[in-house]
Amino acid sequence: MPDETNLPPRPRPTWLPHMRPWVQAAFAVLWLWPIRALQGLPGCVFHCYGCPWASFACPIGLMANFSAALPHPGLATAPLLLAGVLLLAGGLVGSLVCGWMCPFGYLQDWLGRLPIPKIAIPNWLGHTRYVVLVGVVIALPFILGLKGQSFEDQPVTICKYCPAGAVEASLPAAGKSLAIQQGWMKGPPLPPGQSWFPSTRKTVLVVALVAGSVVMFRPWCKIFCPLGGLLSLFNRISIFHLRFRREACYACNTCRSRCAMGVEVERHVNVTNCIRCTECTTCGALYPSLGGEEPKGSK
Amino acid sequence: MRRHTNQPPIDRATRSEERRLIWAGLAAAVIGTLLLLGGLLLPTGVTTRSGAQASEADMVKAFRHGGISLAAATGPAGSGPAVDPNAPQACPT
Repeated sequence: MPDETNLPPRPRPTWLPHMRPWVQAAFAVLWLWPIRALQGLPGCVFHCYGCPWASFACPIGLMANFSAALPHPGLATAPLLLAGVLLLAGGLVGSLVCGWMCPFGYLQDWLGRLPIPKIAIPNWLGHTRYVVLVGVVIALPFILGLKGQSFEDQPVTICKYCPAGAVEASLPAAGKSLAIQQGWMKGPPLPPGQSWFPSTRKTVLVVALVAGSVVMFRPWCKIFCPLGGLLSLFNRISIFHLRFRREACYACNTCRSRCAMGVEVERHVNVTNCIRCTECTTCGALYPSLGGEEPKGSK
Repeated sequence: MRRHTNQPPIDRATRSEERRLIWAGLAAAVIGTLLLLGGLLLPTGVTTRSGAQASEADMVKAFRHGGISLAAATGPAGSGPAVDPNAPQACPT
């Protein structure tokens, strides 16, 4: 701890972290507002479009669908709308989307609040997100599309193994299934030749997500989320970013100890494993910025 | 959520302030806005069930409502639909 007699007065702590759960709740309402006019638009968060209340469409599901359609001359098209939404969100705020807007992250935040000791996830596992993005979301549907399989017919897709789909689409379907006495996750009767999703896989995904989120902080976001990986690439250039005010730092360890994502805050904070929850801004030495000069009176 | 972590001492003199200008982010946002407008206004070249050109929004609706049948999409002209944005909504399997 440095000698505080040589340092300026401590900065005023920021209120941002206290606002976050309310903003997350407000965005959850927006994503779950079933406005039909919005259903043709991609969203910028990880939210399954199979959810009966989904407003916008899941950008990762769309990316995989467009990739599967690419080898077919009649269907190949450049996904301008999807690319535009992701570039716009990334350029403006980067992975602030993950920390403040994503309903799936919000769900994991709630599960992580249970007072159970958490296992730290190594930062290097964050690279898995790019393997999922390039391998499972883009390359695999394209390769299987080359073999003539449509996305829905492909045996392995991101949607079939997506925990967001299991929670947001399959659980409501399971409720409906139980209500009409068809059994757990069996769904309503389908035409001959079509099968309902296997209940075992979805049940395992739901259980794994809940168990993982209780003992680890945001395991999906940190290890697997392809959308979070993509948006976090913009953290180094996005208009919204975090800055360090060195003359206000007392090395009190608040920033590092409040970071649940394991960011090495003492070195850099605008990095790919940050979800911009802004918990590190609590003491005021790190502060959110939209560029330009530091606000007057902040020193 | 609070998790105590042993923190290496911060060298405040050499720790980057991570200041930057907004131009790169602004350029990405402007390009994103232009692409978004292009996606909203331009047809995709994919034919719908009614024979019209599908917009990207139509394709998004088709993807989220059960996907696109390749057999119908790649068949001879007039043999079937490529995109049906009004199909019943389906859960991803």
